[in-house]
Amino acid sequence: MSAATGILDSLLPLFRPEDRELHLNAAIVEVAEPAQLVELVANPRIRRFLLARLSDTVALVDPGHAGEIAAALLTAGHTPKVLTGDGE
Amino acid sequence: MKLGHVLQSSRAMEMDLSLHGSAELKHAARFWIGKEAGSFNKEKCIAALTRTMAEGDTARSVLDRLTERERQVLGIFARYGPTVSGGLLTAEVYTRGIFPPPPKNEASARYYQAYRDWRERDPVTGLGKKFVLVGNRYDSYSSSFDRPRYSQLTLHPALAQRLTPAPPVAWRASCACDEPVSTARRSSAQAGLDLWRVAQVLRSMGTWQTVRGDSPARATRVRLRKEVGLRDADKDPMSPPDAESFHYELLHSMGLLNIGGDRSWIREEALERHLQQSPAEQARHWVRAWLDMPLWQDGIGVVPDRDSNYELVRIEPFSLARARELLVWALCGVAHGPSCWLDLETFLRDFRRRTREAEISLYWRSYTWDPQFEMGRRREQYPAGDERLLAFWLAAEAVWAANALMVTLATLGLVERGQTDGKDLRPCFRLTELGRVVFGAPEVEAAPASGETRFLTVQPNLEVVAYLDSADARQVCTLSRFATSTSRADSPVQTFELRRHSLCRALESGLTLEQVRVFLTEHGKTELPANVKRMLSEWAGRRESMVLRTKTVLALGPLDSETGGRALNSNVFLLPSSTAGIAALGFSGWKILDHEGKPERTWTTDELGGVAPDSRTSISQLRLARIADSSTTGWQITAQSVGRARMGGMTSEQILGWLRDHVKGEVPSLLEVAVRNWTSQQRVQLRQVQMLRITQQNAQRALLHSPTFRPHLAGHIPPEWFLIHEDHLSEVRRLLETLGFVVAESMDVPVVEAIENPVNDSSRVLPRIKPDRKRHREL
Repeated sequence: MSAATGILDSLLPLFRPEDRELHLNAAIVEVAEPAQLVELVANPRIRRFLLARLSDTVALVDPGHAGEIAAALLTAGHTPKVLTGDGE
Repeated sequence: MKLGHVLQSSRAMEMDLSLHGSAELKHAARFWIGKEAGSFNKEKCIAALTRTMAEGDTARSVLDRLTERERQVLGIFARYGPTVSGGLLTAEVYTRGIFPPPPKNEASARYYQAYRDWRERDPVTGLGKKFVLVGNRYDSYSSSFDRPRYSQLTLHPALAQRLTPAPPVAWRASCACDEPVSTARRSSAQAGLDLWRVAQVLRSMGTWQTVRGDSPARATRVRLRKEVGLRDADKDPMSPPDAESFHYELLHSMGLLNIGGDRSWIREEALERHLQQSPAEQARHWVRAWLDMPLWQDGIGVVPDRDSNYELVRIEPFSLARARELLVWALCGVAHGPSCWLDLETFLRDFRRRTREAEISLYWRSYTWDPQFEMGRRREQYPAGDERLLAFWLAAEAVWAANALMVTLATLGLVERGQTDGKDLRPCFRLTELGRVVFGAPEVEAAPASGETRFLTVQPNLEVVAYLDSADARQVCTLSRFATSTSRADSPVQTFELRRHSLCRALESGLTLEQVRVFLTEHGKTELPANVKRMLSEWAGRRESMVLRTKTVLALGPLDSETGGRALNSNVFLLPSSTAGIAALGFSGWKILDHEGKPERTWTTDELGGVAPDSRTSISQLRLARIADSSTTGWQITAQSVGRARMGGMTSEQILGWLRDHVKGEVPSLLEVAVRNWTSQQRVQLRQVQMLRITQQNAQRALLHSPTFRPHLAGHIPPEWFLIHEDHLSEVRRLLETLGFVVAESMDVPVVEAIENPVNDSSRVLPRIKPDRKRHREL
């Protein structure tokens, strides 16, 4: 287990689904490196809108807060690419 | 692209023959059909006219039957039409000398005969009677006996295609102007940038409130002024009053704003299309928008959308629109005249002379800039007559025209201001190249652009210095998309700054990093510094490395169907968006959760934070895990669990929001209070007190104001409860018994029962305690 994963586990635990669920209109934050996700979840103003970690580089956004997290990311100096759906 | 005439009107008018009388119809039918129509009745006239006017070859024969003078009049309609306003038509007919002005009013029988003869010979009236020109019978701008002028007329559509437009009439100044000693001009890029800045702030606002007439509400105007900060007439009388509102009204008049009921927003695509036009096309739109802008008035600023007979609140909009049109008409003549400076006062005197019959009359006296024309200053010295009328006009209406010309149109980069030397400094002006193209269209065309313009310098500190004189509005607006303006001064040299968020905003709006690089390289006077190139790449790269995906479809659980999803971990898959539509079909047996829908209310809570969920959907479980502790009996919201959520950045409102989303029925008020207390502690006071209850009102008053009792009282809970100092109880008992009171040992306190919401609605049966402030401080 990498150091980043350890920190992530303490701040935003990995989500392990117990049942089969299909989530529509979900929002996720994807980053290139686990360290970037650590940087995000270490900031309470961003972490408050993240519900769970789907992997070391992907986090699930709390339903209904996609707009707020986009604003929080910008305020924190991040400039994410905003995409709709699975498009590139 | 060749521009159309700036005053060209595409308004068409429906002709309703049934509104005309038999005699009028018969007269027109004799012209359109022939002498035989003289015997037609009204219905037959209408039928024959309708048929003939619709025939394709009618136009040529009709035009052949017109006189030369009438064809000259129709040439005016071919130039500006098919509809020409009364003021413009009046000015054109007399300036071109097609028909002389009416005889001078001498109030004699001979005058009336001369006037009647003049009316009979008027070609415009004749064309109206022949139904070649169609008018609106209710046009308010109509002729009067002492000031004959035409009403708005429209050329019959059957003739519109076959006419040759009248040639332009060049302006000849009655007096030459010296070369100016100082000049000032704005480039089209500066004007475009102002408009862009106002649009940017409106865009950042998303929506905004408007008031009557679709003007921005006061709060919106204040924000525009604060964030855009254009130079205003308060600081410089040669700047437009309420400059941001002027640009707002321009955007509105150009149809670039969507005005809703309570809220308005910007029409992004239309704005983008406007900005991509050539400078001349953009400027032509600005002028046409200004012509039809009633709620921002030159030299006055924003005015309310109402008129009053008792209070002067604005220039009457119709009069203002007519005056603006005539001023633009005069400038069209200037564009076709020699390119030289014009003395402002001389120009306005000539303007008044040429539009005297059309008459500009504006009831307003106070403008932000008053040029103090020499003749206007001495107006009282002139004897009654034309000179005196001109002097008064120069002191009033001409001041409006001066503001429109030297401030409004100069702000738009169409007019260059100057001052001539001499005994007094005299204002003068000339049209800029842009002004000549806009007002001289269609005959005057813009010179072809000479390749790519190099108008900026990128400095290693990420600053971009832009020389707006060498740029056009299109280029500066493109620069503004990815660089933030840092200049506030109205200067032809503006500074921008390349910032990470401005670049990302541009990339978000569709620009690519390569386009930004190419733009800076192609328009740069110097090479793009290497560190700037590197920073741009790094910022764009960082943006690429973080993606916020919205409206995705996630499958949580083992995916056995071949849906082509991307695995985010062993049990989480990002599915193609198209899956959403077939979710119900392809995922039978799966629980479907829509993040845009309302969550299921499956939690049961008690006042002390116990939570029992009925279902175990992931959202519900994940949220509970954030705000509650798991126990053998279920979940428990505690001070510790809320504290943990707070450490994770959650606010009490967010926690309560989740509770409201999931709890069946209402969230218990006590739990709500507890959650708030756990996130920010609320102070209460609790201690034992000695209480005395007196129900008689006069006894209450007596005790309250008694010097004997005052030292023993620790507080008063109106109306009947008195707090006694702990160590004074026996003394108070003795005093009361001495005064004849029977002291009971027990208290009859009302029972607290069936209180539904003690937090919000404290019942009247609960006594309200007003603590003794002095004692409280001591504690």
